[in-house]
Amino acid sequence: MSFDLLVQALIDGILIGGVYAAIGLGLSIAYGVMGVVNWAHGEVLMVSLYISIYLTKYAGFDPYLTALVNIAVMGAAGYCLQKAAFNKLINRGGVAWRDILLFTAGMSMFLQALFNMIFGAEVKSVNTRYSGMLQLGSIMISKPKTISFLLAVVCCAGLFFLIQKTEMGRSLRATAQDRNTAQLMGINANQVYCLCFAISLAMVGLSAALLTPFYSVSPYVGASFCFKSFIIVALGGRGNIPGAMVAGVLIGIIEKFGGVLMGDKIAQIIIYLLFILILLVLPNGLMVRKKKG
Amino acid sequence: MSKISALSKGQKTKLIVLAAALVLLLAVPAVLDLGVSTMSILITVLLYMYYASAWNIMGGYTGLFSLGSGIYIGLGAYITAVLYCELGISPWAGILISGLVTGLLSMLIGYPTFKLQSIYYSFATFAILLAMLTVFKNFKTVGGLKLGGAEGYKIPSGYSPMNMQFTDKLSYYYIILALLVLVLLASWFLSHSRDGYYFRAISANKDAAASLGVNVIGMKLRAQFISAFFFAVGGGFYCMFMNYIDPSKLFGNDLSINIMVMCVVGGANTLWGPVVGAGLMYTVNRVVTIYASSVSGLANIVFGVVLMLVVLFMPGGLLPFFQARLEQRKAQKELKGGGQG
Amino acid sequence: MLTIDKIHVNYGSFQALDGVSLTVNEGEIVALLGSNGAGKTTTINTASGLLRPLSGSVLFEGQDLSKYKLHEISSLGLIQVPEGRKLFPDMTIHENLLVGSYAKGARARRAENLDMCYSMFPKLKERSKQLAGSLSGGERQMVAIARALMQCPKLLMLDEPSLGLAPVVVEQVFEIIQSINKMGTTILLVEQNVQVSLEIADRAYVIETGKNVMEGSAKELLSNEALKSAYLGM
Repeated sequence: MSFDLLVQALIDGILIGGVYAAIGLGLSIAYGVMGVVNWAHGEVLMVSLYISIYLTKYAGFDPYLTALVNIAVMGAAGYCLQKAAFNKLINRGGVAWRDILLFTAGMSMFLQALFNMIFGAEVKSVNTRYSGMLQLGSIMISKPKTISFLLAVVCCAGLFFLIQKTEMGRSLRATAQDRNTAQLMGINANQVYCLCFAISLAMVGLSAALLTPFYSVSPYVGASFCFKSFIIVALGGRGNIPGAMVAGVLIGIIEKFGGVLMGDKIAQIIIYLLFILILLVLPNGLMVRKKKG
Repeated sequence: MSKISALSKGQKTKLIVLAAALVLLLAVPAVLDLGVSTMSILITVLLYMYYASAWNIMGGYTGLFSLGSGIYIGLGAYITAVLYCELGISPWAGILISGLVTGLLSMLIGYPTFKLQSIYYSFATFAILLAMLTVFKNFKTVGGLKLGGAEGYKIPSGYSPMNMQFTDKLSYYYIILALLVLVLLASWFLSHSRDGYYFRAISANKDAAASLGVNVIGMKLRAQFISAFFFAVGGGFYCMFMNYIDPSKLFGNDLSINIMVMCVVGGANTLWGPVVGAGLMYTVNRVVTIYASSVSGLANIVFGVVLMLVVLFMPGGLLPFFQARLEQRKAQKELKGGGQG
Repeated sequence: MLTIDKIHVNYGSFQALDGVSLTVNEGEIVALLGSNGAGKTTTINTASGLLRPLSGSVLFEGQDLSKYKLHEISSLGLIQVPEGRKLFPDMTIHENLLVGSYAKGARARRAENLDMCYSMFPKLKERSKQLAGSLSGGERQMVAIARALMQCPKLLMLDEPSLGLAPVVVEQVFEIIQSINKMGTTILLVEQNVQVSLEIADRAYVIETGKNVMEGSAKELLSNEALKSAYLGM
């Protein structure tokens, strides 16, 4: 196995891992603040990808600019979903996460079938002006993947800043840590939840734009992203932004590395087993909390 | 006999209806020739009702929200098939053996995963399912056995009643009907037994149950074993019925999720809920496929919408919702009648 | 200022409060006393909106609180320091105070309130970047009170502030409560520590298994030996 090949895989893994991180971050925030498990997380990405690819292909959009459209559309969708459905399920009492899981499972079925009906099952993609490779010795680094990686990192960092340093971010964290007490401070928890899910879906929409230059879409792409997002949440710790970023890159590396070393199929199995192992051994993910005091 | 006469009128009516239904189910297909496709449909419906009821024992009663029923169905199928094809063991014994083996394996899976938070337990079962799918789909040889990978595993067909091989569908129909009755009886006994009481306690609040002295892990293992056993037996039946195992179907996420959905939509934690849920969803599937076959995937669109609506507006499932409505109407009628009396 | 009138509150089928009433007038310190499980916390939680009564009413400055959503009540000036303090554990002291001044009115006066709090609790200023989850009991109580002050309270309800604190610290806390009252904030104090509470209170109510059993001025109750042993375990 040539060393270059391994380095290539490592770099590829890191680059795609950045985008995985952004996608997984969306789920991590929703789960961390509200305990919402969005089974349709992958389908949100699928829908956003269709939007991005079609806008780029037929409306002449710059693929990265479609992020703005996606953020707006998915953000609004997230806000409304939380308001119309999830808040009801959460406030109803009973086992909220189960109900939400079921509801989003229904959403997932619905969206997959709907887009299959509308667009057909063939894979669609678009060629953009972001293409080509940088060459470092014998290692090829994909230009669009690098741009996407950098943008993904910037956005994740931006989200981190939002959550840690702004008023809204504080209200989110307070509600996540103690919903009742937060309301005693005058924070409207239901509205915070709506904002939170809007952010969650907006991150996914943004990530879809980042994938557009080099990824293709079909009604069924969602599933693998969804599963990777679950792993990122488990690995990175719920609601933990730096954790999710590290986890995303790690998943990307394992995927590419594993693919090169052992073939894609075995790499997949390893990822599943890794997931199970993480669940059993590290309930808080890789980022062990700083010692108190 | 004295026990039966001690039942209330309502309960007697129920028993009579059940008995009548059973007689119809037994007699009609024997007397009328319903045709191959109808028989296939009936068998499939009964199989889904069976699966949904099996899921109910661990998922509905005990709160083990498994997303990986296919693990046990697939294992049951492969074990039964291999025992028959490689060792010549009759599937009648084979399904029992596969049930026991799979049940034991399920306890191995269950033990470490039970201490996870409920959400992570569900994810773990899903991950295991996907892992199995990848293994059985991509590797032609597993554990030294030639299992065919994605091409599937073929069982030679023929007529051999001693080996659960029939040329007509009617015999398979009776088998699955018997299995369904069995799983329903098991559910009924469990829910009325002390075990069932413990299952429910664990589902409601496992910490409280533990502090009251309930052996939470032991009970969960028991529920898991029972469900896995039934799943495996079903899988064994299915492979003999189809003479073929397609790993993508059995270990696929569609089957497992559908089973869970059928049970929950119909009414988890009730006896007839899974039956209602499976029957309804399968009927919708068939109707949509027949009348709107040009629109591909319409069935799933309908399912998705139905699922969302049921979760939002009928928590607890269809059956409890409509039962409650009926009770309300009855109560209102009684009020009116009493006022006039 | 605060009128609780015959509220009935249930937890599921368990009747926690069976017609509890009390009044707090502006400028007073009123103590709500009773043994464990008497319903004191339930009463306060109903006043702050965390629980809704089945019947009866809670009026604050004439406003019927049932018309307000939970997160709107604090903006009326009715502020609760919850039992167990309930700080946000993964936020620093400073951030906890910032969250306290989240509401519009409080936010406008954030800077001056921060100054006031930090001068009142200089220890907190030193440690303002420390995570709330890592503080000692006494420090947490200070943060909880400071956070409540950031909300510009007109009436401050404290639920068992002495819980789990050493006697020396309890004295400090109660001194602070007294000085807050002297600055113009009305106080409703729920406590199990009868002695210290009655020493700073003007009036007091005693409840037992969800019912009023006694009320009067603090002096009267302090001198009523029979009362003290019967209801307050002294």
